[in-house]
Amino acid sequence: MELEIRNLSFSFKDHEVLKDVSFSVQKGDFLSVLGPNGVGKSTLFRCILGSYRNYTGSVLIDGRDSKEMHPRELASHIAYIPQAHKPTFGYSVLDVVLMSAARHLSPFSTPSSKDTERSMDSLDKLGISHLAQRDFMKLSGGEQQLVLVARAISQNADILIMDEPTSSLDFGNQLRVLERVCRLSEEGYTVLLSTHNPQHAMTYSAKVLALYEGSVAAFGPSKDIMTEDLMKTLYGVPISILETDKGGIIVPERDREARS
Amino acid sequence: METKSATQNGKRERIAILILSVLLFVLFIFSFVIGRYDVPVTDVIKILLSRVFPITQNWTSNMETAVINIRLPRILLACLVGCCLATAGTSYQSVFQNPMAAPDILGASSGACFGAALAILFDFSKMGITLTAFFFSILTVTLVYIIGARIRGNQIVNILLAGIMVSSLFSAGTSYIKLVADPSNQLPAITYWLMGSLSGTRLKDVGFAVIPMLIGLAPIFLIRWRMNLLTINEEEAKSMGVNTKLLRFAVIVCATFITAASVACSGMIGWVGLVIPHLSRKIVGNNCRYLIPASMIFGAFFLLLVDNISRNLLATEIPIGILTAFIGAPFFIYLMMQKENH
Repeated sequence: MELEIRNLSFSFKDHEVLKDVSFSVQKGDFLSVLGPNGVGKSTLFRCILGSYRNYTGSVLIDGRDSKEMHPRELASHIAYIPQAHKPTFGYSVLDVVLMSAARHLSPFSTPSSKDTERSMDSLDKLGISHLAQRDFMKLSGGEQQLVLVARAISQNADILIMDEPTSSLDFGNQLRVLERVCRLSEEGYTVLLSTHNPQHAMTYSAKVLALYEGSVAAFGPSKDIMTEDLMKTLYGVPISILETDKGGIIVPERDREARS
Repeated sequence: METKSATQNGKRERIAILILSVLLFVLFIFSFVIGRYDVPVTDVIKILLSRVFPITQNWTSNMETAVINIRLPRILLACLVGCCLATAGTSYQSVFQNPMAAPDILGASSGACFGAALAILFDFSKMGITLTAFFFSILTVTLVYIIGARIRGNQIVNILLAGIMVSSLFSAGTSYIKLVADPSNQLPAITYWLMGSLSGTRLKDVGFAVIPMLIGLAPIFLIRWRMNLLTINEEEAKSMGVNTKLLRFAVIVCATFITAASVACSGMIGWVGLVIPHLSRKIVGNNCRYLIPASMIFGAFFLLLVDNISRNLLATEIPIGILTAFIGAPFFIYLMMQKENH
C-alpha cells in the first residue's frame, strides 16, 4: 500500500492554502506532519480524505487516483481519526466502533454478529475490549482516542489519518496513544499524524513532513531532517536539539544569564 | 468473556422493546372495554376475532357497533398518530443533532394548521380539510428546505432557522384566517381543529391516513441503524463512505411525510414528538437501531393512553392536544431536572 501526494495545491477562494505539496509514504510508515497553526495540515488531510475535492494535483493510492474511487472504496483504504468526537447523543463504545460497518453494509441493513465480532477484535487489538459496554462520553480523552483508532481499524483501512490526536490529552495519555499508534505502524498500518509537539515526531515517528507557508519545508526520516534550523523556521523561536542515548530531545533555548 | 459481551449486545434493548409491545397490546384490548357503553373484555376479544374467524354471535349488535365502528377506528388512529409523531421526533433529533427537535421543527404543523384553517374558511368537507392540511404541511417543509439550502454556511443551522421563519409566517396566516372567519361556526371549528382531536374517526379515515404513514415509517425503520451516522460529525461519517447529504434528505422527507399525515388527520397534538423520544432514549439508549422501534411502540402506547383519558375522564371530551401538553410539559421539566442531577 503506497500513498502518494503529487503536486497538490488547494485554495480557499483566493487564498492559496497548499502549494505544490508532494510526498509519498509506504506500508508501515509512521509520518508526523509538523507546522505552525494554520499552515494547512488539516486541509491537507481533508484533501487526502476526499472531503475537499477541488484541489489540483493528485492523491494516488497504489497508483490509482483517489478522485476516481467511490467514497466507500476510499473508506476501505483510508480511515480518519478526528481530534475529538463529540456526539450529541451518548453511545456505548461498541456502538461507536460498529459505526465503521456503514462502509460495507447496504443502507437497509443492520450490523450482524460478524460485524460485532470484528469490532470486538479491533478493541482487543488496542487492549480496550473491557470498555466495550461503557458509555463513550464518560471515557477519558485517551481512551476515547483509542476507541476511535479501533473504529478506524475495523473499517478495514490500512492508512490511518489522525488530526492532532494528542492535543487535548494529558501527558500520560499522549504517550499511551502514541505508543499504540507506533505499534500499529510496526504491524503494517500506515499512519499520518499531525502534531504540535515536535518531540512526539522525533521520538515516535520514523518520517516527518514539515509544512511551512503551505509548502513542504522538509520531508524525510526524522533523524535527518529534524534540525535546529528547521524548528526555528517552523515555529519562529530559538530551539536546541540535544542528542542523548535515548534519542534527540527538543528544548527551548533560553537566555538564562539575561534573566538572572 | 469478550465473545459473550459481543453476542449479548442489544439483548437488554430487545427485551425492553418486547415489554413495550406487550404493554401496548394489553392497553389496545383494554381501550375497547372502557367507554360510555360497557363491553366486557371477553366480548371485545370475541368481536375482534369474529372478523377473522367464524365465531357464533352471542353479543348484542350495539356492542359490535361500539367496538368495530366507534372504538376501533379511533384506537387505531391514536396508535398510528402516536407512532408517527414519536418516530418523526426521534428522526428529526438525529438529523439535526439536536435533542430539542420535535416534529413541528420544520413547520409541518404550522403549515397543516394554516391549510386546515383555510379549508374550514372555504367550507371544505372533512376529507377536504385533511387533504388541504396535508398539502400545506408538505409545502411548508419544502419551502423551508429550499430556503435553508440557499443560505450559505452550516446547512443544519440554516434549515432550522428557515423552519422558525416560515413557521411564524404560516402562524400569522392562520391568525389572519381566524380574524376573518365567521365567528359563529367557522371560528370554533378552526379553534377546535387546532387543539387536536381524534373524536369522530371513521374506519375510512384510518384507511386513508395509513397509506402516507406507512410510506414514511417503513423507510425510517429500514435505515434506522444508518441514522446513527447522522448524529456524529459529518466529516467522520463521510470518511466512512456514508453519503450524509442523501441520507439526511431521505430521513427528512420521510419524517415530514408522517408528521404531515398525522397532523392533517388529528390536528395539533404537541409534546408527543418531544417527550416520547426522550423517554425512549432513557429506556433503550441512543442507538437508533433500537431507539426507532422503541419510539414507534411507545408513541402509540402513550397517545392511546392519553386518548383514553381524553374520552373518559369527563362527560365532555377534552381535546387530546390540551391533555398531551398538560401531561407532556411537566413531565419534560421533570426529565430535564433529572438530567442535571446526573
